[in-house]
Amino acid sequence: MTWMAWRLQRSVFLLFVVMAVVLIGFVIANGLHTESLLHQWNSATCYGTRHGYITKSQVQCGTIFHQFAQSTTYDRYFAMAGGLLCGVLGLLLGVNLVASEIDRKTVRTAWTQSITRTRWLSSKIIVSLGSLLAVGLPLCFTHTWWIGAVNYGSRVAPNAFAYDGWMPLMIGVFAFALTTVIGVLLRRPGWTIAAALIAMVLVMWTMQGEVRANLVPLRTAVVGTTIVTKGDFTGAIPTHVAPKNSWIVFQGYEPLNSGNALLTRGEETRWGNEMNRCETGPISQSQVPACQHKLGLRDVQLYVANNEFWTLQLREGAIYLAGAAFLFELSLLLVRRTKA
Amino acid sequence: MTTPVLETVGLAKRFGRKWALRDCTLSIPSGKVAALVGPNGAGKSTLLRMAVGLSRPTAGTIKVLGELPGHENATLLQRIGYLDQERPLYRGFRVDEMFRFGQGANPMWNMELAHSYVDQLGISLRDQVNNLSSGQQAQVALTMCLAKQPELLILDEPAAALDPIAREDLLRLLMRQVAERGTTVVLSTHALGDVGSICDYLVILSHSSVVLADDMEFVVESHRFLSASSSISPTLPDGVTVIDTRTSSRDVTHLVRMALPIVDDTWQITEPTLDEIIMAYLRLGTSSVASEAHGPHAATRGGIS
Repeated sequence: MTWMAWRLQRSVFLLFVVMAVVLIGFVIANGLHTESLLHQWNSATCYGTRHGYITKSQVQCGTIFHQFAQSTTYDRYFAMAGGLLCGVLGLLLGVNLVASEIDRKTVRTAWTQSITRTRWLSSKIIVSLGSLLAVGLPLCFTHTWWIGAVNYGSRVAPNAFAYDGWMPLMIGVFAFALTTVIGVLLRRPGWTIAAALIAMVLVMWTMQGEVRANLVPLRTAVVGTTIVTKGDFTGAIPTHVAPKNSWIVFQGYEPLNSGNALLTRGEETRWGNEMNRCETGPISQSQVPACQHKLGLRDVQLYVANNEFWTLQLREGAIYLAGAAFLFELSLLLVRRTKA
Repeated sequence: MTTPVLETVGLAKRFGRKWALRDCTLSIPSGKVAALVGPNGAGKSTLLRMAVGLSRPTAGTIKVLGELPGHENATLLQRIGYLDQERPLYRGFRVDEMFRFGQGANPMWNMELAHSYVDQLGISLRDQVNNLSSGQQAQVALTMCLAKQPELLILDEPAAALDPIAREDLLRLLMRQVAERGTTVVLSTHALGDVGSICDYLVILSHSSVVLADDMEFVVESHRFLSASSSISPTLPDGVTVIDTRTSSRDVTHLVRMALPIVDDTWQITEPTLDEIIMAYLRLGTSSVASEAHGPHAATRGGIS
């Protein structure tokens, strides 16, 4: 059965291997180039240029900066491509697993051989997971290295987190399991892909918006303000903000006794509006703290520090894995009950 | 008494509001080549799919080789070869890859047998299934069943949509298996010619119910045409069941099933052909003529209780 399972997904797998190899090749080349540019930019030669001074190395360092900017122009898309590749592979393997076989009626041949449906599906699941690992693991390794090499920015922030670490692989496995179950239920490949895509978008949106921030304890930065006057500019500049590259989950006003808990959306709006009503007229150094004091509020940033990256990866990945395991079990149950 | 290869009691299957099969009680003995005959929608494929565990009954029970068919009963599946009417092979596979699949999924698989069959039929192992004619695809599908070396072959319209030569090749392959290994065969068919030439047991399904199930020999021997002038209209002999009646301006002809030999000079008695008997039973479901023979119980011997 292992050979059979492999033969049925061979074309899809090989296509994705080719795509992964191309992407990995580009990512390695781009990563090494960008890393070298960053190294030169951060060297002592460009120290003056970095701080806005005119130096002898001005032209050379300007060129380096320009090349760096150029090499990182499409970073976002390559990061996404790496992340999506596993997800799409999971989707296609999932739809091939049962829905395509039911649609082509080949299950009538497969399910009347001398093997149980449990063994038939288990073998196919294991081989597909092997394919996902074979494509996903090298992709995850190189992407994780590349995101670090090109100084992508915050690794816990939503714009990169799902494409970094082992998340692409975990999302791919979950997409595979979800598509398998939907395929057993809908029995048509086209509808299965459409439904699975919608379901995956919903799952990832929920994970990012509602779940992820609760997976690690949030940290609080109580923001102060300093009125700064420079040239014709006078305004309040925040101080004591969250560290660089953190994922700022909430920024605004909250009651003094709130701790590190997230406010509800209604509370967020309410306290923001209260402060806006209080702060009338031209901003003065004393007005903002006075309003905060009067309303019993503080200006905060609740954030996930960048060094929580692997903890967050582990926990969110575990949720996807547990979800996939449940869905695989469900698909086994459904396949045993389904008619051919 | 040997265990029947296929035994059903009150078997029924409903799809939504429509009954595909109702109150089906029959018993097919082993060692036979049994034909399952009936019009489209009579429930033949439904019955066969339940026999191999592809579908579950709505009511009643079905036993195949003395066991309940089911998706987890691999030992029973090992003893059955099933050919679906749509012959669903993996279109992208080569013939040798189909056989490799068969070998991996069946412990009793005989690769030598599979190779020799397709070799005799002029099909190359390197041919892709998609490029084979429908006749060759049917041959490959049947070879997949035969190479499992099953005790029971369940074939759903194996020769449907085949040209006469392909049909003959397929049936020859089938009969060779029966002769060499004594395999029991249950096949559904629309081709009445095949029934007479290769089968020795007959099951007729009409309108989701079994109307006849018996040995072929006994079926022919137990039916007669009784003809008389319509002006005389004599009384029917005792112990006969009217299956079909045809009237013309001068004569009335009944096809009857008889329990005992008829000795009655008032009727002209002739022996019907197998085709005539089958056609009469197929009409039975749509006609209200066969008053006595309504329901499955009237037209059976042994096979249906």
